[in-house]
Amino acid sequence: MTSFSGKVVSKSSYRLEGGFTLARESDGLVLYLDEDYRASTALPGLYIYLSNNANTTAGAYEIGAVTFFNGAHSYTLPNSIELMDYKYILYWCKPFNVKVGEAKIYD
Amino acid sequence: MKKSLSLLFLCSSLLVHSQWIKEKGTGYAKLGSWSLLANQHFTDQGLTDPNSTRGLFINSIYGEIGIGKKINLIAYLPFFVKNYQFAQISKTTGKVYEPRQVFNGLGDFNLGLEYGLGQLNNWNFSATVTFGIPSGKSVAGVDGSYQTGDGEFNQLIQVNTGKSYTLGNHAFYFKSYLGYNNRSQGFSDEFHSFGETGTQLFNSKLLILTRLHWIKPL
Repeated sequence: MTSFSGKVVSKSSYRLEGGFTLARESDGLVLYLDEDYRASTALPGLYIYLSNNANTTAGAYEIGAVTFFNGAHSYTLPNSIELMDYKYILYWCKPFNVKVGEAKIYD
Repeated sequence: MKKSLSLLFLCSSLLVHSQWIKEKGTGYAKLGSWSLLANQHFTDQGLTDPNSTRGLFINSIYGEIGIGKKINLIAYLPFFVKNYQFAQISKTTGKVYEPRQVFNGLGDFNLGLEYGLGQLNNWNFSATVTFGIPSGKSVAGVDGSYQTGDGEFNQLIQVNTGKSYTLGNHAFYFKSYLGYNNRSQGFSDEFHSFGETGTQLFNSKLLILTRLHWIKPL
């Protein structure tokens, strides 16, 4: 297994949707968001995480602040992260500690 | 998980200008406090979502004083603003995964001048210019979200009118204004409209009022 694909879905009333692929590339792990990705720009601080718990960012890896809200883009992850280290992608409003959405990487 | 919106108003203090000009050297000041606690918020879809419980506690002084024949100086000074968030505690483990956060500071001061325009058919008219001073912090606290001000300079120009009237043998008042707020730092300018009516009871010990303040971003 060199990649996982799935859908990002909103778990709030903020818009968040789109397909993703988490893939092992030659230069490391890369998270790709598809062309159909859409995210609300109304949140004051939307962040993206990798986590093993879909309900908290405690113990999660913070990829960073979301700066793309429409269309395809990608995040290159550190070499220390393996493909199966995390089960979820989380979208979280960091300033107000609000879960916005998630994607299940694998069962 | 269903959470209810928790609002706690201890005392409300809005910056509301009257159109009855005070004589030179006379005026009043009032000390106000209000508190807001909320565990839900409105989203950009017009729906409510839960959030970590956040609180705001504002203490202020509001005053008006006559400084000329037809001119009042108006000041609203929120001298202590507390912006805070409750600690986040896991219901399953009891572990604190987000400690309580708090930021204390000054809020945004308002300074204004009101000029009496005169009286027409028992209606009093005045004009006010108010400057919103960015004395608060627009980025504050551990992640910058515990702001005590909006960081921008407001200039609100308004025309006020009001009158006294009676219903039966009881005296009431009505006052209103229309205003335009020129905002800086990329904030939308605003059109303001305001109306208030009320009466005093128990030898002026109790004021009962109702007000409507409508703000339209432009």
